[in-house]
Parts: sequence; structure tokens; C-alpha cells
Amino acid sequence: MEPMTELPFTGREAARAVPIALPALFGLVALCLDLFLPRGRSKGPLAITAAAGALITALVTLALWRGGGETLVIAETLSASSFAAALSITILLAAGLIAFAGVHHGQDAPAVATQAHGEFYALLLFATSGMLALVAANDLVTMFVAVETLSIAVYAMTGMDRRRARSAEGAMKYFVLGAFSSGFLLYGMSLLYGATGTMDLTRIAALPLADGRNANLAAMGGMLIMVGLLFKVGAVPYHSWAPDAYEGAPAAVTGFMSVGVKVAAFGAVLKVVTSLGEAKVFGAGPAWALWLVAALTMIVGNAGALTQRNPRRLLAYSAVAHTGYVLIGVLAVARAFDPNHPLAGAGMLDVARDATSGVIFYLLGYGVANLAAFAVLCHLERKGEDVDDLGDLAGLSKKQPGAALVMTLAMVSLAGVPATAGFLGKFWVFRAGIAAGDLGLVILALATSALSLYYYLQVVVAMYMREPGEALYAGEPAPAAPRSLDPEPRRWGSRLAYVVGGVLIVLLGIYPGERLLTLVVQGAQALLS
Amino acid sequence: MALVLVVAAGFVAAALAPWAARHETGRRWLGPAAGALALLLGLALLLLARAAPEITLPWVPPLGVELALRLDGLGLLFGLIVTGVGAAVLVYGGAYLHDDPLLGRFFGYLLAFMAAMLGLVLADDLVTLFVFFELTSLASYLLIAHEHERREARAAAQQALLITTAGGMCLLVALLLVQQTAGTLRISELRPEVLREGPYLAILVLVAAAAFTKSAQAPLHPWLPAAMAAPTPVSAYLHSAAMVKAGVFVLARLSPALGGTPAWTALLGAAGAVTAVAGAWLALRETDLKRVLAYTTVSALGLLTLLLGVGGRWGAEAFVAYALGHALYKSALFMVAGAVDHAAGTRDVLALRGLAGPLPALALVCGAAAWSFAGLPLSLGFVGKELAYEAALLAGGDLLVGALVVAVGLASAGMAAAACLVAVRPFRPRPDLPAAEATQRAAAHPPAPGLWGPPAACAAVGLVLGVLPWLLDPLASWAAGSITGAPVAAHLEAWHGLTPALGLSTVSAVVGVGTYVAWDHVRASAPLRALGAVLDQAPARAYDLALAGTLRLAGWQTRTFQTGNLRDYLAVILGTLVVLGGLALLRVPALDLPAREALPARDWLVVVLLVLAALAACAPPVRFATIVALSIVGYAAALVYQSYGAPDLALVQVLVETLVVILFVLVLADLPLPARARPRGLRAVRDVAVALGAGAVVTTSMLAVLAAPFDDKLGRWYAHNAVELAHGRNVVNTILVDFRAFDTLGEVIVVVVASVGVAVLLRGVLRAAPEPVAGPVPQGGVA
Repeated sequence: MEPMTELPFTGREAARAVPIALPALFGLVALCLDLFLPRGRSKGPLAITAAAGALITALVTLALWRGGGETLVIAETLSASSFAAALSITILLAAGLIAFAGVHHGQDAPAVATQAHGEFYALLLFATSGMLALVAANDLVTMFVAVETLSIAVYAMTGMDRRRARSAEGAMKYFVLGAFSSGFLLYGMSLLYGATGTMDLTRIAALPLADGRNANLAAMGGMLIMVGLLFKVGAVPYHSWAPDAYEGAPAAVTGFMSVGVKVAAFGAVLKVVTSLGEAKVFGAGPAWALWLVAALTMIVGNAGALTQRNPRRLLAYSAVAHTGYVLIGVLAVARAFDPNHPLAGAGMLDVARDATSGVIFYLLGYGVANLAAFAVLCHLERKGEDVDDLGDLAGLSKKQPGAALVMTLAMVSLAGVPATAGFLGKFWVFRAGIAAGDLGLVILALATSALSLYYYLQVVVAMYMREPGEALYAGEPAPAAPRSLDPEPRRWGSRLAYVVGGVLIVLLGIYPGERLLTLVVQGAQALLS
Repeated sequence: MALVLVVAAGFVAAALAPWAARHETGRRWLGPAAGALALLLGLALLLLARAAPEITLPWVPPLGVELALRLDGLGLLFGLIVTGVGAAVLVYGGAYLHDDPLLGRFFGYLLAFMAAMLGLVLADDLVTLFVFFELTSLASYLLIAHEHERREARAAAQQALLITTAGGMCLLVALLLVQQTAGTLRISELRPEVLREGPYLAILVLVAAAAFTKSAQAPLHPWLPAAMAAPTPVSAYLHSAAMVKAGVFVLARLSPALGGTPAWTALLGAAGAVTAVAGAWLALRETDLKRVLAYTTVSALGLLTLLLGVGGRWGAEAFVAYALGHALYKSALFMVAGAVDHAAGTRDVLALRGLAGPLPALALVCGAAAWSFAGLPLSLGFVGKELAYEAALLAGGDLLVGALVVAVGLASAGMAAAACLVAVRPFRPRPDLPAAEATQRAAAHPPAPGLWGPPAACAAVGLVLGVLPWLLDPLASWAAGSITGAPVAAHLEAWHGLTPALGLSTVSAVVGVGTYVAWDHVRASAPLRALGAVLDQAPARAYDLALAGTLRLAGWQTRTFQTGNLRDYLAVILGTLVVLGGLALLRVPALDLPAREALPARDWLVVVLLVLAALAACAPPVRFATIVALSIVGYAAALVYQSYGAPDLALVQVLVETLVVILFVLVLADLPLPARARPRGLRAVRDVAVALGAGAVVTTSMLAVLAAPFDDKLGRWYAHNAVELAHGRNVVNTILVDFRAFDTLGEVIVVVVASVGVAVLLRGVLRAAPEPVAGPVPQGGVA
């Protein structure tokens, strides 16, 4: 290593890292602002601050992306690339929409309700910073710190609703299992460091590790890192925290983590897969493990969702299922580095790029639909209690046609019905899967997608085919005290969030637009240059 | 652009329909207005036909996906069916559902369906085609479930959607394979020779699966009879004329690219023949008018599939004539059945008789449509059937000809019998019997003109075209050319002279009438019962079982693995670590550990202490004892660090361990914890195995790390440069606050986040007032 005599980076370089710090700064602003807001009053100013933070960060990110090239900044710990920019947009969208969707949490509840709003926004934005750092991380330590930043914030947000035992239970399980996954992650990183002598992912990629003992060590380390990250994306068998945490957390928090954490962690997964792939550490061996994980994730996620009646739990399993679909794209990227693959060569690089673009777009489409669904659930919160049963949605189309429509759009988009954002994402990822030779996996994905219509439509059936207060299934007693589904005039934030979500679902599905597609494609090229 | 407008108009109208239905005037004029729109769109297609327009708009360029529309003969034929029958059904629907509170929604779905269907038949890009294909399935779901308070309607809607969507997924895989093989998604650019190089058979089977589900080929057909739970206008439009034809349309659309191979002929011919025969004869078991018609629709779809399988000029011509004829007579008959239901209050053939008296207009319309249905001369049905016989007779190979002729003949005979059943039995005057209840009711409820006018129009068009079939020559030539991929000069004739086909037609008509006369016996006869058991009940039951089985399996899986118990979750996670890690370690050749001198006695003591304490931590039922044991593990680790030359690390370990013990004890003192349930039996075995396995894997991997030659150049570099670059003598400190200061900053942020998080969780807890945890929220007190 050369002795360094100057600062390892310039001010111009450091500017490229600004978007990562911005949300955290806005978080501090929100925390301070909260001190000056009267208690028990609307927390609108906090929501606007947080959303403005997300928006400004997004604008800065896009401006820097258009301004110039793919570089490594700050002693090569972060990569300011199109890849990071593309994923950041989805993360920031989640932060912005959830800032609005969550503003009414506990608004009409008795006085003891959650009063943690300043902290909610601070944690939301801190976690956002962590996520942005994770998709940009180029160094194992930076990656770990980013994972911890976002995880700890999300653990705390999960347990925010202390009034409900489920919230505490979900947070506890998430935390304990999450701590385990962090252990895997760290252990894997140290093994990889032991094998390569560097923490820098681009340098690891350039190392010749094709054989020898170090390659085995690196493979073991890489596998453990993948385990830690697969935990974060909720892949089987590391998904068991998801249903409990999703159900326990308030709807706004669930919406945020179901999108933000997943997107950020998939960014890291792709980084690790490409870096270790180029170093020839991940060859055919881990591919079959990834294949198995993808297949199991699709099966278990969809099967789990089939039997759920709690909308958040249903969406938790659905999120697991979607992880499985995204893993098809990840597997296609991993296959590109397998020298024994029948299609090995220049063509596979294109396939890997296509798969990466697909994953980026898929995550955006999934994110938009999930955020819209959770925004509707936030909108329907009454006295601090979320909708806990699909039956509670009975007759929503009569009471609030707009909310019911957006929920329907979200469900059909998640099911992958054409003309929605979800369809194009699926098409893109599955296309890459077939090109990489995983026809069987794609057929499984499509079969489970067809099955998923069954449970997504349960939600639609409840909203459109039942009268308010009617039982969900024949032979079931009608609820004694049906939830009120009447429109609440004061819920401007959640309404704004779901309207934006609904518009985006349709827009992305019908006309994604040239500029967005450029960002997505360039993102893939940046990762696999 | 005109094509885009034609497709978009329907969607815009669909969005406006619910709004229009808010007012009484709007409700009354909704049907006629929508019908007029459909006619206009049909007219527009006719006017555009001469120019044969195409349009391509970029959609998702990185995926090679375009919004490509193109008007060709096949598109025009189906476009005219969709708009023409659509116009009749929309007018009829306005009258049929005039007092339905959900009229606006109904018309919205119906118009959206029409638009999707137009998009489908005009699509020249496979993704565009797929999108509209799926939208028609969705519209069908919504329309079948229109009367959603009825359980059977919901079940039928769900069945239709699940089956057709599964088919749609096959189509998606097929088009992905096509794109990968041919490098294009444009249908008009697909070259058969290119596709045959690639995974041709997979593509063919997947496309066929999509078409067979959508077009209800046996044994995938049970969703179609079940879909009769939909309001009659829906049955007349989606489930006879348009949506179910989407499947055969896709086959016809792709036949230039995929057709003409032995596999194509065998697959389509076999499926079509079985479906054509089974559908026609299964219809004769039914007594509900709509279900009789539904099964004969299955039969007709089978015949169309068969004709595509036969292919060639004759197959294509027969396909065109038959598709058009069937759309016209079958939608008319469905509308008549709905009108009968409206007037008489039942659709049961057994309860209906002598309706010609009170309902003369309907009887006439029904007779006209059934004439074509039975395939009697001077009708479009006759023209189509004659051509079908011709095509079967001209197919190569004696065995094939025989099979095809028998299939067409049996199907035609069954249909002729069904035609009599629908048109003769309910209407024939029966002065010998007392007037049935239904007849009296019908006399009191004469149908509105909106209920018999539209079917009359359809039936009339069918008869006119049957007498003057040469009117269709340009359309038939163009459409048949689109199917075969080569120009065809079709000439349709009402009378072909005394041909073998005419003879076969006569035979099948006679057999059909004979069957009708003996219907009361045929209905319950053993062969029909057996046919029903094999081809109808068995698949329907298979669907039910598959759905119930999937749900049960899903429930079992979730209950077993998602127990809610943290210990089970951990067992799964660690178990996979053991398996995966173990497999990875197997690849490490051998551990040649560097030889070390024997451990001194003092270190042995520490090791023994460590192991004993770890075991003790697992054993005792008392929590405090567990904490003590765990802390011994920690302190023993500190001793290990100490004896291997890392006193600073040992110090940190001791401090952290102490802090953790204190925190543990403080928290435990405050937490009301139930007595710890000890796992028993298999569970205990599993826990022990997982724990030992995890320990073994971690230990082995540690040894593997140690066995690798260690390069400490990084350590030497830091030690060497600490003073010069970081101006510090404590190397660890310089790494933390200088060399890797940004990581430290990150860690500081983590600590800040953690403290904010802790603040959220503890807020209020440390203050005096205890809050109710998870109790019912007090009612009334709104803050």
C-alpha cells in the first residue's frame, strides 16, 4: 500500500456523498422542530420537513447523477454511481410517502397514544441515510455500519407502538434475529478480509481468487455475508421475523421497512454478488443455493399469504414472495460469472445487466404498490388501531371509493397484472431469468404469481363485494362492532400518500418514461461495467 | 393513430359509464349509446381496412417492447365480431339490467372489456397482445362476479380467473422464449424457420396451454359452464362471442409462425376433436338453457381449434366462416335465453313449454338463430360446417381424415340435437297439455323490445350472410390469408352441390334430430353419464381438490414453520447455517494446522472452565445462574486474550462483560417472567443438535482461517505509519480516529440512532404512571 501524504479525497468528491448525509440532517431538524410544536397538535410540519428532506435529497441525487460519471469517493468507501442513484430514488420515495402516510398515527386516539412523532421522523430519516449509504457502500465496513444504522432505527420504529403487546413482540423478534444476522454478516466480512486482505469491494473484485485455500475461505465469508443480507430482504429460511414484525409495527413503519430495507439490502446483495463473482469466488457452487432459496422463498411466501386474514401479515408474506421473484434476477447476475455456464461469455454480461435493470425496476414497482397499500391502511387507522382483519375492509368501495380504488390498483400491481408497475418489473426480471437459463424457476414464479391472485383478490372482494359491516365469508357472524370506514376529513397526509402511490402505479405500468428507463439501464451498467 | 383511438375510445367510455349511470336519463340511454359507440368503432375498422394501417409507439425500449397495432384480415374479422355482437349485447344489456343499482359499473366493465378485446385483435407486439389478453380475463372475472351476493357467482368468477390467468402465465413464458429465440416481439416479423430452430416445442405447448384455458378446451373447460352464473348479457358477449374466442384467436394469430408442423396438427387436432365431441354431447345432459348453450360453445371452440390444427387454405376458410357464424347465432340464442328467463322466470327446459303462444317474436328469433346453430342450409352455420367437412376430408392421411370426419360429424349431430332442445322444446305449442306456470307468467310479462330486438338483429345477419355468403368473400380471403400466411382467394357459397360434405351434413342432422326426439332417454343414458364423469366431473373435482389442497398445505406449512416461537426460528436459521456451512467446509481440502507447542497447564484450565461454563449456561432452569455462567464464558475469553498477548483487548472484554452482567441483572429484576418452559423430546434433541452443529461449523471455519497463511502487511503498514501520518503512538487509536475515522463516524451515528430508538421505547416508562399494555382502548375519549 502506498503511504498517503494528502487527504484521501477532495471537496468535489465529498460533494458526491452529500445526498447520503442529507436525510440525517433533516432528521435532526425534525427532532429539534418537534420541541417547538405544541403537544397534541397536528404533526404536519414534521411530515412536511421529512418529505421535503426526501425530495431535496432526491433532486440532489438526480442532479449529481446527471452531472457526472461513476466514481468512488471518500477513500473509496462509497461509490457515487448510477446504480446507487437508481435505488436511492425508490428509497427516498418510500421515506417521502411514509412521512405523509404516518402523520396521523394516533391522531384520534386517547391521550395516552403515541407521542413519539419527533422521534418517528428522526428515525425515519436516519434509517433513510443508512439505506442510501448501503446502496452506495463500496467497503465492507461501510456496508456494515450502514446496515446497523438502518436496522437499529427500524427495530426501534417497529416497537414504537408500546401500547400494543404485538408491537413490542414484533420488535423483540426482529431485533434478536436481526442481531443474529448482523453476527453472520460481520463474521463473513472478517473471513473475507482474512482471505483477501482488503475491505474494498472493487479491489476484491479485481483479485485472482479462482482457486486455492483462500478462495474457499472467501467463498465461506461471502456465503455468510449473503446470509446476513438475505435476512434483511426476508428470504426463506431467514424470513421468519417478517410476519411478526410487519404485523406488530404500525402500518406506516411496516410500509417503510417493507420497501426501504428491502431495496437497500438488495442493492448490497447485488454489490456483493458482482464483486465476488468477478473475483471468481461465486461460481456454480452458490448458484444452486441461490436457486433453492429463490424457489423456497416464492413457495413459502405465497403459501403463507394464502391463509392470512390480517392485511399487514398478508402483505408480509407477499413481501417474502416478492423477494423470491427478485432473487431470480439476482441469480441471473450470479450466473453471469459462472465460467462453466453454457452461455458464458460476453452475452452473459448483457444478461446480467438486463437482470440488474430488471431488479431495479422491479423494486421500484413493488415499492410503489406496497407504499400505496400501506398508505391506504394508514388512512384507515382509527383511534390508533390499524385494520387487523380483511373483514374490516368490507364495503370500503361504498364509503371511500378512492381509497378502495388505490388499494385495488396496489393489489393487482403486486399480482403482476398487466398495465401496472408490477407487470413490467416481473416481465423484466423473468426475461433475464429465462435468458440466464432458469426456465424452471421462472415457470415456478409464474405459477405462484397466478396463485397469488387468490389472496390479493380477497382484499378486493372484501372492499367491493361486501356491504359495510358484512361478514367476509359466508357462514361467519357479522362483526359485532364494525370499524368505521367513513372518510376522515383531517387525514390529508395519508390521502396525499395513497393518491400519489396510485398515480405512480398506473404511470409506471403504462408509460414508465424515457428518463427513468435511462436511469435504470445506466444503473445496471454502472454495477457491471 | 386511428387504431390507437379505436382502442382508447372504449376505455374512455368505460371510465364515463359509472358517471352517466348516476342519472335516470343516463341509465335509460346508456345501453343504446354504448351500442352506437360499438357500431361506430366497427364502422371505423371497416373504413380503415382499405389502408391496412399500422402504428408503433415506443413503450419500454430497453425491453424491446412496443405498443404496436396493426389491422389485418384476422384483426378485422374479430374486430367486427367484437364490435358488432358488442353493439347488440350492449343495447340488450341496458334493457336486461335496467333496474340494477350497479348498472354503471357493469357497463364500465363491459366497455373496458370491448376495448381490451379490440386491443388484443389489433396487437402486433406480443407484449401488447399479452397485456390485452390478461385484461380480458380480468374483465371476465369482474363481470362473472357481478351478482356477488351469490356464492356460486363468486366461486365461478374465481375459478375462471385462476384458470385463465394460469394460462396467461404460460403465454408470458412463451413470448419470453419467442423473444429470446427470434430477437423480436413483433408478430408480423416472426419467421417460422427461426422459431423452429429454437425451443419450438416448449413455445408451442405453452401457447397452446394459454389458448386452451382461455378457449375452454376439455378438460380445462369446466370454468365456462360455471361462468353461466354471470348475467346473461355477459354470457352472450364474453362467454360465447368474444372473450373465449381470444384463445383460438391467439392460435390463429400465431399460426403463420408456429403452425403447419406435425406437432401443431397433432396437438390442436386432438384437443379440438375431443373438445368438439365432448362439448356437444355433454350439453345434452343439461336442462338449463344457458348451460346447454355453454357446453355447445365449448364444442364450437373445439371445432375452431381443430380447424386451425388442420390448417391450410380450407381449414382457414372454414375457421373464418365458422367463427363468424357461431358468434352471431350463439350470442342471439343467449340473449333469447335471457329474455325467456325474464319473461317466464325460469330457464329450465323441463319447466318451459308452449312459449310460442305468449312470446311469438322470441320464438321466431330463436328459430332463426337455431337454424344456423343446427347447421341447416341457407345459414352461415351451414356454410361453416360444410367448409369444416371439406377441410377434414382434404386433410392428408386416411386415418386422420377418418378421425376428423367422425369428430366433426359427432359434434354437428350433438349440436343439431341441442339446437332442437333450445329452440323447439320450450316454444312448440302443446295444446294437449295444460298451460305451464312458466307459460302463464310469460304471457303476463312480455319482453321489452330491447330484449328481442338485438338477438333478432344477430340472427338476421346470420341468415342473410347464409343466403348471400359471397358478401363475405373479401373479408374471408383477407382473414384466411392472415391465418395461413399466404394469399387466399376464398369463395364462399350457399350451395356447394351434391358433395360428400352435404351427405355427411345430412347424416349428422338426421342423427341430431333423432337424438332430440329420444332426448328424455338420452339425457340419463349410461354413455352420457360416463362421458360426464370422465370429462366433466373429474376435471371440475380436480380443480376443487387442487384449490382446497393448496390452501390446506399452505395452512399446514405456515402453522408448522411460523410458530411464533423465537426458538424455532433460531433453530431454522442456525440449522441452515450448519448445513450450508458444512457443505462449504467439505470443499476445504484438509486442515494442515501449523504445529504449535502444547498448551501450558494454565491455559488448559481456562479452556476447561470455558467449556464447563458454556454447558452450564444451557442447563440450569434458573435465570440468574444462566447469567452467571454466561459471564464466566466472557471472563474466560478475556483470560485467553490476556495469555496470548492482547492485554488491551482483555481489558475491554472485562469491562464490557461487567457492564452486560449488570444490565442483565437490572433488567431481569424488573421483568415479570414466567418460569422457563424446557423443551422436551424431539425438540430438545433438535436444539442440542443444532447448537452442537453450529459450534462445530464455526470452530472448523475458524481453524480453516487460521490454517491459511496469514499476511500481516496491513498491520505492519499501520504500525509503521502511525506516527508519521497520524501523529499518534497508540496504533489502535490512530486507526479509529484517523485512518478509518469515517467508519468511526458511522459507528457514532449508529450509537446516536440507537439512543434515539431507546428514547422512543422508554419514553414514559421511566416516568411514574404505568400505562395499560395492550389492553382494550377506552371508548369515547377522543383526544
